[in-house]
Amino acid sequence: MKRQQKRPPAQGNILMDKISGVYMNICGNKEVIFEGSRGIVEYNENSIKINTGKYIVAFSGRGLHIRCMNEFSLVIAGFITSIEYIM
Amino acid sequence: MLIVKLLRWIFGYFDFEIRGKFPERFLNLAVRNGLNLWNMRGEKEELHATAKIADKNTVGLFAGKTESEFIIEKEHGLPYLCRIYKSRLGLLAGLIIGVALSCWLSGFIWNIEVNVPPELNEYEIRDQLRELGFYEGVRYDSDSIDNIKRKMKLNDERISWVSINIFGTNAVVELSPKISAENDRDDNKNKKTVSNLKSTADGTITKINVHNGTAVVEIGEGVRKGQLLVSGIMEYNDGTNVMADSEGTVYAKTSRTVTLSVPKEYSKAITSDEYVYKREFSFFGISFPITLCGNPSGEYYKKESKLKPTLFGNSLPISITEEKWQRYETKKLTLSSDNAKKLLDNRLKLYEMFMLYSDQRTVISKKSKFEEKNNMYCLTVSYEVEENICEKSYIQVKE
Repeated sequence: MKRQQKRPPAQGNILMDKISGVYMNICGNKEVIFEGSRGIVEYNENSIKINTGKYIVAFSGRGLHIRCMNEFSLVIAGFITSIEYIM
Repeated sequence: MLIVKLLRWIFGYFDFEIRGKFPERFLNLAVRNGLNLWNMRGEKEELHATAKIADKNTVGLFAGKTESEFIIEKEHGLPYLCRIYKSRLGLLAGLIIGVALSCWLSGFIWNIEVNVPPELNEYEIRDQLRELGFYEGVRYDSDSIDNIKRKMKLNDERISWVSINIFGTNAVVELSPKISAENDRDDNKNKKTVSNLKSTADGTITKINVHNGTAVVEIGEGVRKGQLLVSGIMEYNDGTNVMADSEGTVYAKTSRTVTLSVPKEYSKAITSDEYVYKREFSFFGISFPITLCGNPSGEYYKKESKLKPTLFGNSLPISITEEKWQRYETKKLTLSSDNAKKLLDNRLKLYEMFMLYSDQRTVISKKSKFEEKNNMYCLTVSYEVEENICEKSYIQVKE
């Protein structure tokens, strides 16, 4: 894991640790811009579950996919039918 | 987005599939390590995504770490194409030759457009340009173009200004004609000039009407061609002289004889329906014959037409020239006396219309004689005319 050793600690990591919050921008039921992700728990076309540290946010629907993502944020697109918080 | 797509294509990218129980683990690992993935589609125990070609090994490593199967679906972009055509050296050579040929050919002039004013003939100008070494297929050289412009102005007195504009491989020649000396004289009319009036024909004076100048002839006096009629130098009683621009009319009775003739035997060309076609294909200034026949021997008329295709308003350096040769026979015919009379009468009418009748000329009497001599029909017409015989003669005055 040379790559991991070379990489400096991301600034976003410190920031996310400090605020430790989740921010979601929901555009209708077609797109969600999600910030505050700590990792993907489940990913398929009917369900996407994202770990935020304190809880898991579960998106259900049809044809769900992640349009783009980085370490702390991602864009979910597809036909969203429900958003659920799993404590 | 277009630039992003273009950069991705240049650096290359690949579609892959991750198969395993937990493909989400691969995703988490990838994003935490800054791996750039896009087009992610998750299915049951499957993940489809796209990444840069440079990250292929890293993707494989992470797939191994998450105990998933890593399958490359398809590769895209320039590095992929280079790898495919690596063994086909001919293709690369063709590409290099094509680019080099295109660069080399763009240094030539392939189309010449000549914009000439009505005073000048386009074909004459094209011939002159060809003689000076500027034709379709010549290599572009700015120094030689300057020389051609200079030489054209020197060689042809009718041209006052030449411009050759080069647009890629097209040349546009613009010309401006010289203003003739007669026009200059017209311009100078308003300036103060001194002139006499002289006779244009022999005759007897019948009427004198002088507006400016001094008449030196009288009514009834006989005059010769070129004789002074009205002087531009006016003398006053006190002995002083004034120079003027003479103006006026002097009418005189003059006689003129016109002889029109037609040969008794004449030859006439009678065309037949026999045609010979010759076609030539011209490509980048080099001509190739399409038809294999040579120039026909015998009596033929030649008509030439040129077909030049254009693309988006620009002429292409391709043309097809067609020569149509039509056969004719020359027959000797004899003109009858009646037909000769009709022909000569028609010619005489044209002569009278254009040469004789005018505002300042009246025909008093006319005598005509038709005769046949030396295998010719001749019509001799004598006119007695009253006409204005004045002609201006300018005097140069040095101050």
